Amino acid sequence: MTATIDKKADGVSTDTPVAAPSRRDEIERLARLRRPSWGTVAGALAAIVVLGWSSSSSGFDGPALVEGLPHVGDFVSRMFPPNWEELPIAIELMIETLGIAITGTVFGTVLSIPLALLAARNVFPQPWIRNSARTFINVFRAIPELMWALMFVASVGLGAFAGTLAITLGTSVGMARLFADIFETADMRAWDAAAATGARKSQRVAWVLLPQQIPTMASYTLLVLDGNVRAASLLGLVGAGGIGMELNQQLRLFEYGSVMTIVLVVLVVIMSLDLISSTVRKRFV
Amino acid sequence: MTVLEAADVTFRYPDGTQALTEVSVGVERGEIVAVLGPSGAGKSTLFKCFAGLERPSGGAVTVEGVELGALHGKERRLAQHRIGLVFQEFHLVGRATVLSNVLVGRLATANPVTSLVHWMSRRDRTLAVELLTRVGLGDQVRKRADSLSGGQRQRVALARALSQRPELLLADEPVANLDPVLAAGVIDDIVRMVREEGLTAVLNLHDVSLARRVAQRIVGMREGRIVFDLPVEDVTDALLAGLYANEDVAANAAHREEVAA
Repeated sequence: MTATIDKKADGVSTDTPVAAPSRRDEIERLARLRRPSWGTVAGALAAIVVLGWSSSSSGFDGPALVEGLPHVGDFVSRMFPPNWEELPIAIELMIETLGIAITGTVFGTVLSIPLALLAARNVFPQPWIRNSARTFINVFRAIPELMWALMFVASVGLGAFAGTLAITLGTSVGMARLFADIFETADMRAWDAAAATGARKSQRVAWVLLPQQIPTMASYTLLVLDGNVRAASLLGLVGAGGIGMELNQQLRLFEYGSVMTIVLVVLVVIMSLDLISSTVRKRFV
Repeated sequence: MTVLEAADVTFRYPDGTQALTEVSVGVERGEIVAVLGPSGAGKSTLFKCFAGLERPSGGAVTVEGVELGALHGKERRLAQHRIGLVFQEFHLVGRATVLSNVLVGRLATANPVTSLVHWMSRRDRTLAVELLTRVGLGDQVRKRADSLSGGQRQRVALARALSQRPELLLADEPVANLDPVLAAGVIDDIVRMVREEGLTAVLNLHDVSLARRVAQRIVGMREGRIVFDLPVEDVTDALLAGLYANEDVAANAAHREEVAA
């Protein structure tokens, strides 16, 4: 094959012999791209350094882990058999936990929509509106839900209400960021057409933007609900209602059988919720 | 009486591309005018200037004596409401029903509060269903817009524009996305509805035979200028050949790229 090309090149044109090696150069140049760049090497080294530093400062200790394993085994064995007398209390508190999570998710989602609209460039093109909304969202998002729960326990007292407020606040700022990004990826052609009919911005949100984006928004809301049930199970640790409070108490009383029952209830509820929400989300997208 | 008037309209895009150069054209009440020309001739820019979506760099566009570009707020919305637009790519809300897409055309005059929860007056809903029936979509009212075919979608867009009860209908390449047979059907529907409603219409087209079939007047454009503006019977094949001729292929292609960019 090569011989034929060379022969032809000699006879007909002087271009081909020059073109062929240059193509080989090109291939070799592309092949060289497989070598890691300096940036990659430096990045890998930095990752190793960060991992070394963080594992030492987190007290991660290999021998201690090996030594501790029998204790972990002992702890787990004492959790059996589960104490089924605990079941009614665990179920009742899990219902409260679900209540906190669902109420917080619903109110949080409702509150997040206006905030998300303010933070979406294509709805409010004025940079000062978008930037102040984004700053507000980012500041509040930086505070974890458990911290909000602590603050609400201090202000409205112990119980589920404090937990619901914490979940609502956390959800509203978290979802606002998510929804703002969803709004910004919307196809704006129908929006522009609606604007050209003379429709107000609020009407365009209700008739064009939300109908277009609601499946995506609903899908994310279900995902966030999942996370909120997990978060609500822990709120009890700081006295903000739900099943966490009971878990903490039984641990302190060394009632490991009851602890097992509580863990099982949480496990079953979160797993079934996961299953339901992923089935429903598949139908949205 | 002149419904639409463009006087020495010049349009330059922010990157410096000159899309329109001193375009002057007037459209009388009840007229159906087709704007023809090769891609990059400036038809779409002219459409945007007519619709008030872009403000000319020079000259003025007036619709019924009002300069849309100079208006703001409510006055501007109500002026826009009197111009119905049909776009090449339909610009519908795919996930919404056919009916709610058409009702969008009624929002400008609907109650600003109750319309937010999709509550529209019986009169508005009746008008929307009536228009949909007249464009042959009476039994698709509750279907999702994205479940319809291209020709049906453009008819929904037409019904949305007509539901505004406009004085003027502007269409920018309304059938460029459809196959020739569907295209003829949609154009015929547009023109039939325009006649029935007694509207004035300006249609941007690239298909000469369609333009000849439906328009009373043809405006030929090339490179941002009007080449001819004649009643349809005076538009000769020679004129059209000149409009689409590529005497300088390279320069034309470069120009087209400029406009597209």
